[in-house]
Amino acid sequence: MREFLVFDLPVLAAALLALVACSTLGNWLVLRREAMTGDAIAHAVLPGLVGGFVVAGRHSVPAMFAGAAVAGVGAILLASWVRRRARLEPAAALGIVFTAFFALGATMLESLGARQVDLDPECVLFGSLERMFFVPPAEGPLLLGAPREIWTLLAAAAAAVLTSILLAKELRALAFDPEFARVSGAAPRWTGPVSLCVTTVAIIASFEAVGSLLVIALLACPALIAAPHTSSLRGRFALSLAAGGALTVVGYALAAHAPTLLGTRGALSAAGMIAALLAAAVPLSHAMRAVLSRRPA
Amino acid sequence: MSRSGSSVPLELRGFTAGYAASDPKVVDISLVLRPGTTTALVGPNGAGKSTLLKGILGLTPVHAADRVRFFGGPLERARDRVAYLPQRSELDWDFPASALDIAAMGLYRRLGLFRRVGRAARIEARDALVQVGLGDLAARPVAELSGGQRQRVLVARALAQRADLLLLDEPFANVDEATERAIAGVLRDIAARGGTVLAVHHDLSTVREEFDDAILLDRTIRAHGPAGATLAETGR
Amino acid sequence: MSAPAFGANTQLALAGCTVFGAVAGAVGTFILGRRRALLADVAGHASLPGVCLAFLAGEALGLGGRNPWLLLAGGAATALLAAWSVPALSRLRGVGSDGAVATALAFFFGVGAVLLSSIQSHESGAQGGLRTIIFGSAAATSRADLVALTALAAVAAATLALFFKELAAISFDEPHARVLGLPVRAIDLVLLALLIATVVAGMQVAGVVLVVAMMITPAAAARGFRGSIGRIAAIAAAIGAGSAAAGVLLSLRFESFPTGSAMTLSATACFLGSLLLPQRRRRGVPS
Repeated sequence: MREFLVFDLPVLAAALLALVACSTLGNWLVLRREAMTGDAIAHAVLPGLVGGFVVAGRHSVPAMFAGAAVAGVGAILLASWVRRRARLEPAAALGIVFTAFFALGATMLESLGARQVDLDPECVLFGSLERMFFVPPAEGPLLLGAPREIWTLLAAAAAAVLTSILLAKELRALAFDPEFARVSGAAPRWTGPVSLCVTTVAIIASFEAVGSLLVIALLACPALIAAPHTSSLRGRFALSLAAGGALTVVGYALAAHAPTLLGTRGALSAAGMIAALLAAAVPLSHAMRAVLSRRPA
Repeated sequence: MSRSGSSVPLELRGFTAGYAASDPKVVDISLVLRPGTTTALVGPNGAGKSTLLKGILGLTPVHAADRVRFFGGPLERARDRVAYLPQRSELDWDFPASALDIAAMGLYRRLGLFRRVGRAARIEARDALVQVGLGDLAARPVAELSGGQRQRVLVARALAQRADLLLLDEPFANVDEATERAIAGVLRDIAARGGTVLAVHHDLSTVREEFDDAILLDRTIRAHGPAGATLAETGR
Repeated sequence: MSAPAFGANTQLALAGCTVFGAVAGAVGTFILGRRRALLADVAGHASLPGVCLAFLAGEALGLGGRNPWLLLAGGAATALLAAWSVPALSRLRGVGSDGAVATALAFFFGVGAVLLSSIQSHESGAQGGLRTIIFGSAAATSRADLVALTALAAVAAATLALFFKELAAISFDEPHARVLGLPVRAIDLVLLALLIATVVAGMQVAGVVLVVAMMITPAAAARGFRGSIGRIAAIAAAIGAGSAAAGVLLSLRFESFPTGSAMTLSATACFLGSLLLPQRRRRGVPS
């Protein structure tokens, strides 16, 4: 039991909070057919994260967050400009800008030396879930021992849920018919940019704990898993969280305990396992729907 | 239906718009719509009919405009009086929503920020659906509706806005005859109550019976006047 | 050149990467033309699990985990699988092409992450080199690997030359090509094969994450030039080759400059430069 509390609980908490933060806003991205925007942002924030560290001189969460936010938003704006200027398809413009940002970030990371930033190149992609653990504090409330990332994730998850609730109808109008939303005033102009910013915040917060790979999976897959089974937005949100949550727990359990079962050493990548499960569940969910709807009513 | 501002629903002067500045789709458009009328915007393919609508609504780049007045002022000040129906094919109808949900979108602006769609709003939305003949399909997911029914949902959305000016892009494209008659009836009711309708229309044969006026557009305005006379004068 | 001696290995790395860069640029011209940038991204990431499986298979079969042809074949296999899965996924209701790409990427790269982590906990010393496949490293690429990738890139170049006219036809006016009776699907498969070959050829030096950049960035830079498709592809190849060579030299000179990053940034510089060209300044409808 103690082992669970020290090793498993913090990881599960982090992963589930990342799920809430990312899939809530990811639902809107999927509805707008912009699932790959999350991938792009996840790659683009890297130089900002490292830059924030350099400017602050140490691992300062606010500085790194601010840097990452600037980089993420800046990259999106730049990609938009490139698309118009170079007359490229959106995916190509995004690809050029975001790989460039990522390359810059990776270089900055290598130059600084991994240990200093507490962020190494692999952690950027695959997160550090396996390395998270709870340190019971000598004094004070027990919760203080939770890994640092949990608090940022909690804040990000709260922000994501709050945004989704407060702007529910505006985001819905924007997703279904952006032109109507703009003309009729159903969604004020700032709704899109604001939701993008909160999405960026969720991505940055999740970055350190789960890595960009799992961020991409969390943004897109839960919504895609839920889609065939429900025709209401509420149902979609609920089902994506439920299915995503279950798969996250199973994925972590597999990653953490499979080595013991198989007799090998070392932990498997939890982020990788969860991402793969979430992705595999998408076609399976559709197949399940097809099978279920063939049964006589 | 009188609110502040002039009663002229739409006034354009010297309006030029389109994606390419060097070759705009519509050039030097000037027109005035009469309140309480339905007007068909007709013209050959690629004549710029959709571009005109999108342009005056700010959805497409505008290159020149001496005047663009909605009820005497800019669009910003008249947003709650103007409704827009885009071409149905531009939307993704797999969206998880019921007919009622979409119709209710017309109420969002009036509800205001952070407010939920409550019981009163849902009743209003349902009334709009009843007006277009979809009262008993209110709870149906839009993915399960036919093309004609989807078009009616969009009209209901515009009705829910209680707008005084409706701009519709091809409202009768690919719909069955019953739907066309139903929608045309709704548009006539709107005009009878003092509202104004401008619709891009592709079928010249039905213009005379369904619209009061007609505008013939082919990059510039070729003719504008009562439907019968205008079409006759251009030999159609 | 000062610090690292311009030895035989460096020359080989330079030669191999230059060929890779040239092919990547040329293939990229058609990737952009056919709007397959995202597919290239997926293919890149999806080669990771295949390489890991090939490594494990090699160890198990006693061939040694670092057999270059085995690794190339493994990477190509999973990349191909991923490329096939994207259109299939996009046909599912509500998924779309963007959802399909995200799902495929998450699955294949996720499996790759799991396999990589499993390999890394092995005793075998050979797996150290596998890590560099994510970010690319010319210095860490063995002689055998360099020979293999050069050979593969050369074969790809030859194939591209052979099918150039057909690829050009379907990239720039598909309906016309169909009318001419060209087998569009077959030619698309050729392009796919070229894409996969380029991805696995470059994965060790450029890294799986950034190899896509070497395809689209030089090609995007070349699009600013006027001329026939042949000329544009040649320019893309030149920019690609130049960026790749610059990347190798920079990463050998500066240890903390990962090769993939150095290549990408060089190519990006060329792209930004191309935006300043007068040809780019003409206005027109966005494509």
